[in-house]
Amino acid sequence: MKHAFPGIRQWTLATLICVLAVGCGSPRQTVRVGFISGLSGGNADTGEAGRNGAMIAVEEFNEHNTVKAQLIIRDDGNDVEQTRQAAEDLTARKVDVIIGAFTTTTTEAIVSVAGPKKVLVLTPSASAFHLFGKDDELILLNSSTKDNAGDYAMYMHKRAGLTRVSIARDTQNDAFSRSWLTFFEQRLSEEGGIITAIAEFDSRELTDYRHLVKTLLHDSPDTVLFIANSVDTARIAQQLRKADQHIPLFAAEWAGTEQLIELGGASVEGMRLLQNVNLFDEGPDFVRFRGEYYNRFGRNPSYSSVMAYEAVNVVLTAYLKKTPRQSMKNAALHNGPYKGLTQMISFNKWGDMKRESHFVMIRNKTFLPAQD
Amino acid sequence: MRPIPFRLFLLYLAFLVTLTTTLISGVSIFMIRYKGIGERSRKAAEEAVDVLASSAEDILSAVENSIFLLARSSLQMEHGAFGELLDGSVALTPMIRAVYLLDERGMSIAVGTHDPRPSLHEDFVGIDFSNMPLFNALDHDDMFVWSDKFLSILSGDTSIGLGFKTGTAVVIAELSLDALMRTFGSISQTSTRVWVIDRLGELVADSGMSSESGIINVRTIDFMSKAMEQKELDTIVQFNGTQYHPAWAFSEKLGWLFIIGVPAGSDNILIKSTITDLILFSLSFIIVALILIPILSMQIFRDVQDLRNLALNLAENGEIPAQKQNRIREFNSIRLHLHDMHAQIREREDKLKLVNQTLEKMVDDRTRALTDRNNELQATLGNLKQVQEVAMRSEKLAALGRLVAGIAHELNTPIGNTLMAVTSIKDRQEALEQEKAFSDRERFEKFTRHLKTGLQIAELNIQKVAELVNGFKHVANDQTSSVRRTFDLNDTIDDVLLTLSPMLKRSPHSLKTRIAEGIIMDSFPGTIGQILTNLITNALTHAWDEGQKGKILVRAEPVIPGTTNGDTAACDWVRVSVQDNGRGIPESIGQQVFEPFFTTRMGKGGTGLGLNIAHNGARNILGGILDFHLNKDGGVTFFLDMPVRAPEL
Repeated sequence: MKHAFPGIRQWTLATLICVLAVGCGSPRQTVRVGFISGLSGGNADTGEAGRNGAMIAVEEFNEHNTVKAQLIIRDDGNDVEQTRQAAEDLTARKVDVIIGAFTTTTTEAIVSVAGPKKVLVLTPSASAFHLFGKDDELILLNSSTKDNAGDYAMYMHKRAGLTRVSIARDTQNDAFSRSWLTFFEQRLSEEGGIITAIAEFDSRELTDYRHLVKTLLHDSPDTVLFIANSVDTARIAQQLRKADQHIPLFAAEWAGTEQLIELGGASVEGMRLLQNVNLFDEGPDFVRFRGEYYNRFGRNPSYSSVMAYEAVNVVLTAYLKKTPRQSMKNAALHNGPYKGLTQMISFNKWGDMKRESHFVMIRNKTFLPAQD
Repeated sequence: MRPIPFRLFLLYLAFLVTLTTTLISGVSIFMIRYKGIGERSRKAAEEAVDVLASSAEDILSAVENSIFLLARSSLQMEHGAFGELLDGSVALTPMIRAVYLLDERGMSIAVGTHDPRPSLHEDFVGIDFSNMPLFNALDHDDMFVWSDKFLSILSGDTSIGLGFKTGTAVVIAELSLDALMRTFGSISQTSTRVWVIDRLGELVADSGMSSESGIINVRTIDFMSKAMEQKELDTIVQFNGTQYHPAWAFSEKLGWLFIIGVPAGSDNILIKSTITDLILFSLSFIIVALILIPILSMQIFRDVQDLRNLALNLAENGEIPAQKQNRIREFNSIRLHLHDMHAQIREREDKLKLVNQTLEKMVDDRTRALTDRNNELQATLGNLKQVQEVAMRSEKLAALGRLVAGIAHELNTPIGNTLMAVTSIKDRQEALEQEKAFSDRERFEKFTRHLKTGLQIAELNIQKVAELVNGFKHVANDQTSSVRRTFDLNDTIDDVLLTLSPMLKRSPHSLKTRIAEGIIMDSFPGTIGQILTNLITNALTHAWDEGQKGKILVRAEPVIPGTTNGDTAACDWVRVSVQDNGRGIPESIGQQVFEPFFTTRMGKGGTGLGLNIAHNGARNILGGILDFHLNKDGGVTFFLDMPVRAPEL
């Protein structure tokens, strides 16, 4: 029997298919991206620069896609408990993924909350080696401490000819700095170098700079290396320069932000450090990003801006390509490699990657490629 | 619909009335107040933000004054004394986290903090602040510059700075975001929300949520972005799920944008309290109504009960209880009307009784009359039956008479011939007897030939007589005994026509037959013959006027019941029809021809039963139909449709 109008049965079927498609199949029309970084406290420079990079990535995504991304930002306060609370809050808000944090200790705090709930975490910059090579809900966009610390040791010995190294280590982000120190020490030792002193500090309690500086310079080191954030590096460098105007200074990649220069002043001139992002890249993508960032925030992007921008792009690209039954983690791992601002981003099966490394030196209040 | 008790009905009514009243009045009050509150809130936000911006400038002017004095003092005082002054000043100003005294190169000379270390402590001296954006922004003497949010090297936390340069001295005060927020919060009302945004779009203070300070870059928030661009804002904006009436003011002095949000919609305290008031008012109204109405309606309920009892008494006993006065006029009126109604009903009942008695008598009389009439009718019906029987007998006798007349007529010729032959033989024999002997051989032979011829004639005619008698016997038997048997329809029709031949011969009309061969039937030939005889006799009697010569066609053929034309031999029905070309049957008569005693020849020998009997016989005995139709070219055709095998009787 022919119907003059489409039958109720056909309409019902069509509606059912639509409902099922929306309910079970295609991605939601809004993807919720949680973002946790240190926006107050000593890591606020890294965190804020990262937040700015993530904001640009989300705005660009929303401009070009019908699926919209919502960035939900939380401050970890550079504090483990506050980080956990932020992660709890974001998972309660049913975020699809969490970008963050920017230090190893806070990243571990996020994973301890999000992991059991199977919420994927992408850390733009955390790099402690023990986070790598694990089948967990964490994807790392930075090289490991083993790679970076090894590069430092190699650089000091082979290129700068510095073998006696004195180290100031922050214990607030202990997981990172300990891991970093371990691999540095190991590689330096392999290269024939030695560590003359290790001065550990917690910036929240640090008041006796004189003693710290004395410890660092006690055994005539060739150089002083800071495994600390930019504020602490600048703060101690300021004190150290009062005692020694000339000793070469190195800082772990963590400190490599604009604030290091602003706060360190003349004391950080000549300081060398490694950047996992080539901030001198002249490729069109990075030049566009740098211009946009400067126009928006009045300063140049830091490594954390680039890494956070890339992390957001990775998760949003993966989300669009995600199949209905695929987890976010699998989608992120199997839809690469991704085009980064300065290099391609591809993960191994554990969700780890290795970034390019570039040594820079602070000269005339700016980062320049290291000459040696 | 199930009826409900009156008391429940009153409760429903009370609830409905109070609910509707409170709903309408509540919504109206809410709508009016909502609009007013909204307008007041917007205006309040606009006024408050201007006050906030100017008050903030005033309060922060105190900080400016402090560092102005410190800067000027630094130029005139020796270091030790200035250090003490600096420590004392910072200690007295909780909002200030630290004050740095810098030289022209940006190197710290003294740093006053809330730390136990004095401002001239070696840790604080010799720090290079030359790369600090605020230091670099102080390019003119005697100018105050407020910074954007920055990370403090001293506290390691996000801060706001105020810089002042005079001569060779540069003084920078560092204020914590928390302190700023507390200050702005104290200026604004507790119910309003204050946001302070620096030039870079960073939220430096948020009175509603301290954790948001320093976290949000307002470019992610639409209304704040608009305010940054100094555009007009929407009437209501949303922030973290709360609605606000926003207003902004820009402080040129501080370089900061102040936004105040007065909670809007359900977040507004006045609207909240209005809603609470309305809900409380409605609830109290409903509760009071529900308590009071049953009490107040008790009297009405009693009155209704009285009326009910009154009506019940009237209905059951017809008694009128003693009258009570109600307080409600309408109830008294109902009571009076009930009494009136009762009196009128009584009166009507009496009248009805009378009418009833009369009617009963009339019914008795009519019943008796009807019984008498019925008896008469029964007697008439009995007589009619007798008459019908008599008529039927006379019809049968008439048929018998026609049969006998036919027999007599048919037998007359052969018997006459036989008689003539026998008489001739007898004459010859007598003549021969008188001669005593044949005179010669020739005469003998002539006599013998004559005798032979006479005997042959007699034999033939006697055989004819025998055949005729046999035929008549069949017809007579069939018509009188109604025997069912198997027969050839052709033979039966021939026999019938034979019996009718004398009548036909006497008439001027001619009859033709067209009978299909080989129709063998298992039926009642007598009834068929009787019907056919009747139809032919009717045609001869009624179809034509005197002196006319008519034609009759008798046909027999297989047929499908109800059709007018004969059809294939496969049919197990047969049609026998008698067609004449006479005057036909007037339309006014129609089917009346089959009714008993209907005749157009009453008193001229017609009984009016012939077609009725034929009609009944066709239906009841043969299981068929007898009907007729008028021919197109005049005359009428009667047809008898019947099954080849008659139904069992």
